[in-house]
Amino acid sequence: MIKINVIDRDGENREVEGQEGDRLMEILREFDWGVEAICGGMCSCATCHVFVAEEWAGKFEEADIDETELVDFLDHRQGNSRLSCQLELSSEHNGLAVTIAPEE
Amino acid sequence: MNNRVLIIGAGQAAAQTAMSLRQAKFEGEILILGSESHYPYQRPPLSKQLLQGSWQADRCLLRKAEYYDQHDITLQHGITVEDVDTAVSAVRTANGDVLSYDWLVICSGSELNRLDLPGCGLDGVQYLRTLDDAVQLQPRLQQGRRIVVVGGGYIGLEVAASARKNGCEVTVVEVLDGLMKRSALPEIARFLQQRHEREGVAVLLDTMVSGFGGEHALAAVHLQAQNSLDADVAVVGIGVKPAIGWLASCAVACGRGVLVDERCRTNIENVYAAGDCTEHVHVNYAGTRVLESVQNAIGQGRIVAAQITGTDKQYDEVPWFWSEQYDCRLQMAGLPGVDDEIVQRGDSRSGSFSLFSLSDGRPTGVQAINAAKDFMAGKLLIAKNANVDAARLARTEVDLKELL
Repeated sequence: MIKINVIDRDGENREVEGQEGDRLMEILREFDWGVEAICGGMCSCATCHVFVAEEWAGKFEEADIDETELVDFLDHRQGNSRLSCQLELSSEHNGLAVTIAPEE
Repeated sequence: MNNRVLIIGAGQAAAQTAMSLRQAKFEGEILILGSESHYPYQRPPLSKQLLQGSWQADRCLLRKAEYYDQHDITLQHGITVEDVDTAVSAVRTANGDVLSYDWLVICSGSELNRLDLPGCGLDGVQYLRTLDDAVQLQPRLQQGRRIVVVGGGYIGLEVAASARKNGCEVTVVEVLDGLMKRSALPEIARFLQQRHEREGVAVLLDTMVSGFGGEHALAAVHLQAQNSLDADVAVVGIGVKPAIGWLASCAVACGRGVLVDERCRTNIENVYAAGDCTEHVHVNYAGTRVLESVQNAIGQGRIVAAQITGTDKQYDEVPWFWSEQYDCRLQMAGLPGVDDEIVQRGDSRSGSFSLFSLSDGRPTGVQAINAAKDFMAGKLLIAKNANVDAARLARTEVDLKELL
């Protein structure tokens, strides 16, 4: 089990659990105010936008060009913006902290 | 009083309506009646990850099963609704149950167009619409099997790409003189045809299927030009139509689909409809249209939930779609007109390019291959109804953000 600390769109802190191999989006879309993930993880819609806490940012593969370009068009983008459908969880992500970005 | 929203259908639009109702703090009962045995699932992966064997069926679920319990959403599977009596606000199911509603939401989706040709009932002649269809088809798409895909639209081409990835021999048969003629611009269709051919897929245009041959199982697909293609499996993908036959004798007005306005309202006060089954009005376009897409299902589901919970929202989202074939991601937004000016951005030989359609200098559509940025910019430009300089749009050294 990989524990993840999430701040959702209501500003509430939640602790959720994922498994190795899950994509973060698949966990975050279960919330009432979680990510929408319209395209289901094809890196096509940019509706699963999160901010990854600084200390965790380096523990994922870097964003590819598609992800970077999609994020570049989001009004709420920050330096630590990622699309959660591109973040695959592994054992080293136990304790991960992310914030769900505001709706565009 | 217990206010009940009754949702007919358990696909993307149905699930979205239910989820959005709970997000909007709707406190009444939500009952979803689905004809299939599954929890609501995503259809796009069926022709891709499912057929390629990289996903198991349960990964397609839109939400985990617990979600519905946690949100007090009741799902009944395997239920076919046969009639609606709008005078008393009740539906009748195939097993004779009568269920009343305070609001009815029709999300019955679309149904397959089927071929009526000799041999079409042979084992091996397959369609792909449901999760069960995909699970049944997947093991048949093994290395070395000969697959004939009937229909060169999105489903057909995605199946062809998946089958080729699995090592099948693949032929695509299309009756028209180009692939994806209904919605893709010719340059996009030609690019993807070449991509398929480079992968070893045989593409036969202007070719009509006349029937299927074989003793018990399929052995050949017969063409009208008198020749035949040896085949182990034929996958027929010749489009869908709104599933509205069951509404024929009720008072809900239908055309090609359930007729709804820009608020997803039907002609009956407490009856709404969303998704593939609708023939709908869009704030920014004249006339009515039927759109089979995830975006349309989600967008309209949200509108219905807003209307029921007392927020006046209208349907004004830019329509968008996507497809994946091999390493090509096609993303499209907007609804281009037939006479629109076409501006190409990027060189198709690079494998990344886009086409913008413009009407009086305003973008109406964007179709992008491996060009996410063009797609995103195009979608925003269409939404803003922005006036753009076609010459600048065509120059890849101009940052599209400058045009916004």
